[in-house]
Amino acid sequence: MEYILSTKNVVKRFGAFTAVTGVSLEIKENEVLGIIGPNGAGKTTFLGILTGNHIPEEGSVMFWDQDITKQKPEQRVHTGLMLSFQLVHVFDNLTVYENLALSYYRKRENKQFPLNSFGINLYKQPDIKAHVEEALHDFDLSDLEEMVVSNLSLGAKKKLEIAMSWIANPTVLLLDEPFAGIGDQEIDEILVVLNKLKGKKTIVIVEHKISKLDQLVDRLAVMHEGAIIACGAFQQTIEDEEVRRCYWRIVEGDEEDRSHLHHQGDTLVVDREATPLVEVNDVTVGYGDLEVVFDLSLKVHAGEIVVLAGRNGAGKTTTFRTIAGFLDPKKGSIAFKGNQIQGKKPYDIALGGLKYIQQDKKVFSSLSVREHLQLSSYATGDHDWTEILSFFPKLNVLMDRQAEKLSGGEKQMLLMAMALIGKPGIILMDEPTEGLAPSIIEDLSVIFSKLRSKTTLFIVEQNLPLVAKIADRVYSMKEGKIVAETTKREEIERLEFERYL
Amino acid sequence: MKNDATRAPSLAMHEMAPHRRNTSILYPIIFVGLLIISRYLFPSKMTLLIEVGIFAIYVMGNNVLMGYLGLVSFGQPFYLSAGAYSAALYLAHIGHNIYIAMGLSLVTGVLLSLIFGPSFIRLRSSYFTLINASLCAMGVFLFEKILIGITNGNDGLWYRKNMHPTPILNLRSTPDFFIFTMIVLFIFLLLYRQLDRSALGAIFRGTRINERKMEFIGFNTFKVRWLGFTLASVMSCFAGSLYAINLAFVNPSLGENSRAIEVVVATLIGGVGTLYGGLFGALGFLGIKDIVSNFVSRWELIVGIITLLVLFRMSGGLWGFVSSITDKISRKRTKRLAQIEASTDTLKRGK
Repeated sequence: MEYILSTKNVVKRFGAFTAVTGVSLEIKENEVLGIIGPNGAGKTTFLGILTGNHIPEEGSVMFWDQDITKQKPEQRVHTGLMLSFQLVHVFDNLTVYENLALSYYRKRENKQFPLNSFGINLYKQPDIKAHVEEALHDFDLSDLEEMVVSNLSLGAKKKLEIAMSWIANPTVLLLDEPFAGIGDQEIDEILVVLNKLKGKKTIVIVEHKISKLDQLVDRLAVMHEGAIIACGAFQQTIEDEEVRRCYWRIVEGDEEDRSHLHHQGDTLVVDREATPLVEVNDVTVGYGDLEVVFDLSLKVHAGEIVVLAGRNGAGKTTTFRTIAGFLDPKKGSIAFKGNQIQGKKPYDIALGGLKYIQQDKKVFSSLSVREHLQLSSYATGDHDWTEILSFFPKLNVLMDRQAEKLSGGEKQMLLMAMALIGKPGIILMDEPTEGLAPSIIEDLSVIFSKLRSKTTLFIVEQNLPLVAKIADRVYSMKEGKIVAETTKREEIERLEFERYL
Repeated sequence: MKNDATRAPSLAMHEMAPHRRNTSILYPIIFVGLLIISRYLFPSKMTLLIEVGIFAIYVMGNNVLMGYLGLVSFGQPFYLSAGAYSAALYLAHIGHNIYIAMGLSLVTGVLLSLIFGPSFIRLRSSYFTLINASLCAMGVFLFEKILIGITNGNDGLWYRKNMHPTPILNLRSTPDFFIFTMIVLFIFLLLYRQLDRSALGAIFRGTRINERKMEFIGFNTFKVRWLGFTLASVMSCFAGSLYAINLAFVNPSLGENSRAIEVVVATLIGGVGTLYGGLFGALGFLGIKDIVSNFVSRWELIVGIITLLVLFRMSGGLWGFVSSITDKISRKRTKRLAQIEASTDTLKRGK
């Protein structure tokens, strides 16, 4: 066998739904392989087959010439396969140091359960300490060494998770969307580390941010509907006709009319003199002693699409959580339709017409799509779905599918449909396009524009081209403060607010 | 590779992770020292203090399951009574050596976890809780009815005359047994402190919060939980044998289901998943019981209300409350140190 890792016709089904339909892929030693594809293409499931998270119904997985199809994850780790997850998986109750030390310690002992663990103090072993300190330094986490992980920002957690895989010195490093949900600066930091490993380690990376991949990957594979439709050098794959059709939805010679994506300000008049729909005044919020957002004031008028832009850790999510009632401001006031809402419970605020969709796209995994919508209907007393489903025709088809088995884009549509039931005044969405494929993001941006006639949208978004397309007003946030506000279309389209970020 | 300027600033005590605070070896010495001093200050409370020492070991065992691994068991009295009976049956029918009786209870603990561990550990959350509860019910039936020929059923076993005096510390005499209990408690506190600081402690904590990730970095979590289960069972059995030797009497009521709550409540009062939570839980639970039962016959009611107060008012239980006080002291000290440093800096600059 000349390939370090290979699959042969692997098939994975979830009930009647086939997530991976006969994928054969060979990975060479010390190459960096990128896998892209629309959401729901089966990329995460395929990585799961490589790690042992899913056992395929058909086909085989080989590590050199060893059949590992039936091995469990912890057994595969011993052969050197290491996965970093799309949604961060770290030990929230341990310190940063301990997270890394545990991973390194497991590697050093190379046993599934080292019995000497009772005698080992992770802080006192010189070699553990040296390796951990080096990883902390390389990943620029040194300042956070003693912090409990639950207090870290998402970007820091992602870095920590990749550092945990890296410190175990795996033969194959599997990365599932390592760049989702973190800012450009942090992505670049991770890229520096990955580039150092290039040529020395076998890396499989699933990612949507293709622009970040072109320098990194040796080969690029594209998945679509559970199959690999192209695999080869980066440029060649990107330009492949089928890839362009499936992934980018670009068809040769068809200059699609994209004007619907652009601003429709003429048809909708925003009355900026009236009482704002949401008005936040001098709000300071924090967790315990730590203050995250300082003296923040902002306004959202009815009918607008307002975007809150800023780097990770700027306090955007905290702001949203505060408006939605999950956090109590330490000072300041929040008004919705002219009524004070600070201190009210989240469910009261939601029923009052202010809906909030969290970043993590969490759904009730065991319920069907229909049951989700019913839940929302019971709560609001609004049982008419026809108009809402006209925005999301795909949900009609998926009505009886279990929510756990939806792709990221489908989950986002479901959550938006749920929020729309009950005719809310405003919907707050935290990074709705995070981790979604370009074609899906395009679909969503069309939906956003259509929704303007139904409700007001207040969105946290890091995808600046999308912001330029849809936003009427952009707030730039930095280190817990609003640093700029832009309402002029031309400035938004030229991304002039970007310099504040 | 790294110079001092880029080194992480060391955090003050109150900013550190809860399990990284108060790790000084002075604590077990102070705690056991205070228990010994109170025995001489209040001689009438000696039996209570012995019970606190034994109960603390029992609660610490339960804390491994409940606090570190997140597994709540309503069957701990079974392991307690199994340990007590293995010591008692040996002393009543076979031998006379108290230390061998204790050793037997440890063997019983290991055997029980070898037998029941693999199947129980596969169960999650409430199923684990309830299968232990049913085991507990079967245990009572076993000691009361099935083994009545050797256990005397509900009448219990009496064997003080079979217990031979032991050299150095005579475990038949209560004052010597008190000293022995304190020594054992001290050793357990030291071992527990080592567990808390060790890689194993981190593995337990990590498994509780994110078992999948633990598998993905390559640990076999089944074995991890099995080991935790074994530690809890062995500690419960050992505590049981101490009860049996202290009272020179056992009957099946020691293992009754209704008593399963006691150890869970004591763990909650003390502070779930904390290093000294077991000791403080035992002290709090038995202390409240001792004081309240002087005034009210149904002391459980008052203990229940106090438990609720502790749970709502003190995050991290009694030990959490005590350590928040030590944190405050450390916070003041770091502040003062910073002031001293600042003033010496200005002095230096003045020169």
